[in-house]
Amino acid sequence: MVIRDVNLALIIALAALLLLVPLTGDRFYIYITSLFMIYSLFALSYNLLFGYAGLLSFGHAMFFAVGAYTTALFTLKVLRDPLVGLVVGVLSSIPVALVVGFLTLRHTRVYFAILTLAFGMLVYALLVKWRSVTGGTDGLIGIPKRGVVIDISSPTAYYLFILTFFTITTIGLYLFIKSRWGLLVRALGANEDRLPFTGRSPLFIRLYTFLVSGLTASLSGSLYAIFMGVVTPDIAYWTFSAEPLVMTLLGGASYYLGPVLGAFIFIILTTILARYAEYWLLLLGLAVIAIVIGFRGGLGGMLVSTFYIVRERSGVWIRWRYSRLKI
Amino acid sequence: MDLDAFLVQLIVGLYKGSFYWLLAVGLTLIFGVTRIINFAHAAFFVTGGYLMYTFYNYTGSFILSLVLSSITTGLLGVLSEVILIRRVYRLEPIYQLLLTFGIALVVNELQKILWGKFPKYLSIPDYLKGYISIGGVNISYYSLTIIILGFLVFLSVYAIINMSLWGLRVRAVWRDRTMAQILRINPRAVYTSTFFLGTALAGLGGSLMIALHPVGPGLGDHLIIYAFIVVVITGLGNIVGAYITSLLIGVVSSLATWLLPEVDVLIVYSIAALVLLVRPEGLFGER
Amino acid sequence: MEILKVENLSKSFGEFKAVDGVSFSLRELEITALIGPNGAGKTTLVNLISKKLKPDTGRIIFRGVDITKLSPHSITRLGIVRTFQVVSLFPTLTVYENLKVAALASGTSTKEIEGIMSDLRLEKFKDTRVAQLPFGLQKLVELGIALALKPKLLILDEPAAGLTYEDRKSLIRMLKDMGKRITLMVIEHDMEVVFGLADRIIVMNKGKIIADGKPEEISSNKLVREIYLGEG
Repeated sequence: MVIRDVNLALIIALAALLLLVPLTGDRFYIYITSLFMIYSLFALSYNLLFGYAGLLSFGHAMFFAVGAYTTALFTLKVLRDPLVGLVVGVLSSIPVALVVGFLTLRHTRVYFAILTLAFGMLVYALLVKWRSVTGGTDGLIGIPKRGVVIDISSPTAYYLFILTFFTITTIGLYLFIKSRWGLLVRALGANEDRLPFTGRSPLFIRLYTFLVSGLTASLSGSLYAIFMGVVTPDIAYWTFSAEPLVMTLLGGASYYLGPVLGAFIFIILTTILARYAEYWLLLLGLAVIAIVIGFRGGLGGMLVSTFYIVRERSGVWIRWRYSRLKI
Repeated sequence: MDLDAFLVQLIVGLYKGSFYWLLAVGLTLIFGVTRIINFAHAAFFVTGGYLMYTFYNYTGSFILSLVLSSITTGLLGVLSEVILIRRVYRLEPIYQLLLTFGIALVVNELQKILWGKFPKYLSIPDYLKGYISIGGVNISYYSLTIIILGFLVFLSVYAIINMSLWGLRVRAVWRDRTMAQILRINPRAVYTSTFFLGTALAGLGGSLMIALHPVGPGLGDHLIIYAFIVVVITGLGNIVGAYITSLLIGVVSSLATWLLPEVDVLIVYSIAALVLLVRPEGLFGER
Repeated sequence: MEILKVENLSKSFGEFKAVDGVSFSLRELEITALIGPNGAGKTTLVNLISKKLKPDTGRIIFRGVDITKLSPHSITRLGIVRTFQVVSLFPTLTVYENLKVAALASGTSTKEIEGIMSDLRLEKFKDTRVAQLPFGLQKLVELGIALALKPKLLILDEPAAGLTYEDRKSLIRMLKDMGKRITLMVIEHDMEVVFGLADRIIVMNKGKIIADGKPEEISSNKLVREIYLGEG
């Protein structure tokens, strides 16, 4: 795993860059970048489970939807405030993670993957069927940006709101991975069978990883609800669960910021290219195939390889300058 | 309880279950032999439907189109296996799943390009139209045809697997690939032919479905879940169990839709989740 | 001072009885070698003691505590540590990180980890990913993980397998030294290692213990000779 302070530097640089976006005043860019940040968090949460712990899940949308719907319901029915709604949305993932995690994580990886699919679709079915509470296929609308605690109705305001959470969470998750908890997660992904013989219970590690991943995914879902103002059940459908997976693959699952890169590419493909290339999903499918067959490191991997190649072929000066950056 | 209505729902459940079966049999065969869970399987089911549409409009013969579309779908499956899936046999299951997922995306999109975004529908050929009456209830010939065909497929597949030479090879590779190689069985040929059979059956399912229910983009996404649920509840790798479970799921979901429309889908997913939790190997599974 | 007591341990795989009613005790700070032809059940026995497998019958008592029902990670925390015949490391983690994972469970400090690395002469590779190391060094990391767990009973499964002559000699030296502080049980095929190291030898064949005693007794034991050298 690539874990050096390069990542922290990159995160801060990214945050600084993102800070500049509202200055353009262009609503579209603000919109796109907000979506990018939300998807990045979703993908990062996914990669914690997939890239680091080695647990493939097809039901991750469940957390996104739980966060989104809880925030929506709370702000519409209990207290009209996005910030409080967000907190509640995030916390709502805890019982879900504990229950689902406890039931599914004791199985082998393949069965876990399929079980997450079943549970994810269970949540979807619930959202669709429970019209009185969730609005069924129409969903819920009118999620407020102006609340009693905080008012983020202007684009700049909600953009900064999202940016703040994005930066804090991205850094926080990184620190988690670098900590001793994170080391155990990486060990889990590296060789799960060895763990009991190094004195640790794999189930326990899986559980807390699932919890952290779920919390982050719900955060992204809650942000989405507030951002969009509307939630519909399709955010719980299994194909939505596949999106962070694809983003992670595109960017590279073994690099911390890989999912962020992947989210970026994904957004470009879906929004910008979609205008010109109607069949962007086709491109996506082809990209996934190409990556699995040839470039399992994703774009991140290709960038890092290119970096190495450039480094080797350059002169001593560059070698000296970059010798500090051990990627 | 209204017995007539019950009978109707039962029949509906049986033919729905037969569709699930046609989808699940290929999935379970392919998994048993190659250990790959083919996400693209449902996409091929839909392909079968589209091909049926095209062939029927071209030839006007229902049976011929059925055969042609099934075989063509099977060949497409072989194509995907030879060109792409072969390369990932040695990779971790995660990457195999991802590859088949990518293939599913590509197939779905290609279908949209070739046949457009709107669903296609065929009408039932004249000689299959009509109903028979059982106790005040009308049951269409077509639904009976589907149920019977499903059963015939079950018998045939069972017979082929258990009684033919090819089936013997399949079972050998299923049990122990290395041992099979030692016995001079070429696993590659077995893999490819299994892909052909499995995918062709899925194609057959899609071809039959189009006369009953429009086939369009999104159908694959919806069906794959049911196929997975069947295969996983049964336990990957059991033909008899898969047939029984498919029919069961069909009937249960049909009855649920009739009796408890508020929670019909929930019931199926809940049952699936429950079974998996209690018996992770599935009801009839081996591992 | 009995550190481990095994009573009537059995394990079958279908019809095949891999371990058949095995009973023995290990004394503290005694170096015991477990030998026997391939398929005798040595690794299975170790798997049973380390709880990688659940015994069909029997009890295992470690320092007075019945551990028969405990899970592998609990056993490891109690002090029974084993290594694997086929090296089982965390490939994407560095040498240091591999040891650190073990250290987290046993409360070993960073200083102590560095101590282990220098004893095994691995400090140069501290930040190298284990997957990139040559086989011999990987075996040392395997040993390092075991040591980082602060074992009271260390079971080594064929530690000398695949090592060069020199490496083997230094392994014997290292283990003899370790044996003064830790109780060791070594499964081995290499007789040089066995006789150079062991205070006591247990011989297994077809799931049963057929001989148990000092090296001199074992080497002159008729039954053992029959099995190994095909005499009689």
